[in-house]
Amino acid sequence: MTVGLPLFLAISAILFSIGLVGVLLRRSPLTILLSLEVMLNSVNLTLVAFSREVGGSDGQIFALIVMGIAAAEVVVGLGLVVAMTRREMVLDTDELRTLNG
Amino acid sequence: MIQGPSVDWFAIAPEVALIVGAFVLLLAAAFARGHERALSLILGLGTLIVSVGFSVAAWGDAPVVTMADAFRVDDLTELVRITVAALAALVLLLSVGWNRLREQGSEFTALLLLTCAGMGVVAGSTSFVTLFVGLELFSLSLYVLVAFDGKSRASLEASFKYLVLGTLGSIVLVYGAAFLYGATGSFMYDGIAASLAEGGSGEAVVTLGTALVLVGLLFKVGVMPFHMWVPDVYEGAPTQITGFMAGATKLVAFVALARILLDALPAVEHLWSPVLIIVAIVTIIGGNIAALVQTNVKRMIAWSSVGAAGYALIGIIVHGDLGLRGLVFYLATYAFTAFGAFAVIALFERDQSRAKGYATLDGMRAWGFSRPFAGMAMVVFLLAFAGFPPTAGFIGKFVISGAAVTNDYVYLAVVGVIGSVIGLAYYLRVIVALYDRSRKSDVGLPATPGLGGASLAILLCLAVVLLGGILPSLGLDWAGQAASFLTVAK
Repeated sequence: MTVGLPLFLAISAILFSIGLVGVLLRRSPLTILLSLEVMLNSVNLTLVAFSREVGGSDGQIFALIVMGIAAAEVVVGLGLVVAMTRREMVLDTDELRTLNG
Repeated sequence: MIQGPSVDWFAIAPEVALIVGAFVLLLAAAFARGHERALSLILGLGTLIVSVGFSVAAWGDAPVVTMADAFRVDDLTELVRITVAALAALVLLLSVGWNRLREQGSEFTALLLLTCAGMGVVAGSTSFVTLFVGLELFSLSLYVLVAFDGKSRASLEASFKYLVLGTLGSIVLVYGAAFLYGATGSFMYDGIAASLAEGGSGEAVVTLGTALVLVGLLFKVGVMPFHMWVPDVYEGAPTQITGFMAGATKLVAFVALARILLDALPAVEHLWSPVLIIVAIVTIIGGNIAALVQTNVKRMIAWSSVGAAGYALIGIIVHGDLGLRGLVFYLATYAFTAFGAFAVIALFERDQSRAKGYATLDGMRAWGFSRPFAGMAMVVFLLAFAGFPPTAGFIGKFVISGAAVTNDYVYLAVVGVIGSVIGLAYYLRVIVALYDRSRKSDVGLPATPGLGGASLAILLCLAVVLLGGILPSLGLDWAGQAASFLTVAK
């Protein structure tokens, strides 16, 4: 049995939705960063799946670049969370409303 | 042995100079403790001048395509590079008296230089891969710059919101690029356009890809309904960074949007054009109405910049020679108008020597009398926002509206005028507050550190805004020359 493109796309769409719901609904900054990573990996899965379908390695190379940048993203994100903890800010995005209106 | 792509080093010299400058600055700061401010100013401004020098030297040359065809250096790329570097230099001038520049100036300046490099990469990208790398290079640097006001919680909060929503936008963009790649087999704009023109690729996949790419880019541009990060981030960020973002990020994001829509997706214009029309109308009206009810001037101008983005969208919807020329001219001069306005607010905040959030209408009452030059400059910038002659804002809006009318988009021009009228209402509130006679006091302000640098930055912005309005032909020629490269692929 061969696993086809539609299945890969379906899985990546599910992952993407899980990540999106997590970003929109979860309140802990750490979980939000985690959800963003899930979304990025769903994109990677799509890229690699299409790369196999189209032929050539463009999609796989892009997926590698996305991974590298995702790592940089997390570094900045976690750095911010650490800085927020040091300022004794409550780690709950519902409380982040100094800026509103 | 894998053969690497050929690289035209002169074509990418401005970015190379910026990146080398950033690292030299960080290394130098490690050996020269206690001279953070002097080092940042000298090396930062020096690097920016070298970078602009390379761009000016290549201005008017035939376009160069390099890095495996993924990066194109034409006059549009050069114009963006020059504008962005000029704004970065103004940021440094405005930061002279900022205590954070004394503490961590080298890191601040290095991040600023990397932001400029990333923006140059975005402006010249002809492939989704280069676009994504450039986009993240400047976004990641900006997230940190937004958080740079170390003691302020608002700064951290703004940075986190920007990080989450900015990353979300990037992810949606890449997801869309993946679908376009699946349908056409290419990440290159011209490859996608050629494949779409032939037809035959899966209609549903192309539609999905186009929609996702559009949403991702509209996030970056900051138009409704993807604008929610703009007011928060603009308010929380250090004010000079707010000015930089309002000018540079907007210009770069629009250039990326125009290049993708016109170079890669002209075949599906029937998909994106109606969406952009609705978004533009909602943004112009919504952004200006939201600005109307603000009492914090910084936040008010942030909302007005959302409305301005809607105005620029008209240029892309209309495209054609006149529309794109208007788009480039409007965005390039808007960058200096917005930076100037935020520079005045920065000066005001420093005068108060208090935490930020105090640039309220009430707080600014009669301040125009104590700082006559900054006050009058603010009046000019606000009139330029509203599109009054003889400012560059008038010329930009005039050209875009003219293009809309001649291309049968009269209703867009009408919406633009309605937006400007609403805008005038709250711009006048600021002007009235600045020159409120009832609160006039004779008490002079204390000497503010870095007043000279800030005044120079405001003066330079003022010069651009007024020259663009009084002698528009030169600026329009440059904008036309740059914009001519947007339609070259058709």
